[in-house]
Amino acid sequence: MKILLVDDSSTMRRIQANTLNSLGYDDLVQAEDGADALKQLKANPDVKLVLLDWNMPNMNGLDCLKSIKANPDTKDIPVMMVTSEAEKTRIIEAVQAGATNYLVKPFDAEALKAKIQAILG
Amino acid sequence: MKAEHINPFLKSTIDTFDTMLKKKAVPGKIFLRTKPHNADISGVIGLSGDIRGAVVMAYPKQTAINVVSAFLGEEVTDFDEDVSDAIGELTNIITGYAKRDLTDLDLSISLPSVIRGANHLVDMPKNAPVVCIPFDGDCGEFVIEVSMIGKE
Repeated sequence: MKILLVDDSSTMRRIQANTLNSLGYDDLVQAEDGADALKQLKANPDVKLVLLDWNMPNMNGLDCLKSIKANPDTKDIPVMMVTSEAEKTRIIEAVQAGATNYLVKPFDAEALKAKIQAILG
Repeated sequence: MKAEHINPFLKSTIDTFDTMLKKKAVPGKIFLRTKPHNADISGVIGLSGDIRGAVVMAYPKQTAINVVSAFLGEEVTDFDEDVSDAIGELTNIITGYAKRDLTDLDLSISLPSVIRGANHLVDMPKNAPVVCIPFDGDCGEFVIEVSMIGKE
């Protein structure tokens, strides 16, 4: 199962990749901003889950989420926001834009695992 | 600068170290900066909106290596771009977490910048007080500096 990790921090992508590997998911694609994520989704139509940061250069996570949900080819892919944006208004904004789940930084690995398992089953 | 604008940075640092690094960060006595701290790596985030300011997390080299090793869950030995990225992300997480408790301020935070270089200094605007929160703990000593000016 292919999963796309989108974060401008290579550290955060590495932490997420380590957690996903421990769950048995090792088919991972990475992107460093929203625009890169859309390119990766085009090149990897078999992506089944996107973990998406909010604050990134070039294209932020919310705009990327809206683009994913506006595209018939990608609109059904579940997207989980993983971000330090914690205000309720931001969470509502992301859910209204189509986010499947929302994880606020800081998080521990167990919380990330639980959210991913809830989405992927 | 009000005390209630500093306390969120104390809480966010302690909680972030506890949650993501599984390490203790123990705050010392808060003081007003009279001169810049010498550091080997600093994560810097700008604050804008109701106030203008900055948050600087300043580390000696060995503390930074210990912090990043705990953050990644793997031993880091090189003091390189990967350490810079991790220190920037940690500054971003801690500032973002503090922001949610600064409920009386409409605040935006910048993307993090990182300064890496032996024994460097980070200057702040002269007309703004800079509050320093020293920490010690499992990873070693470091300092968070918070500067705010404007509506308070």
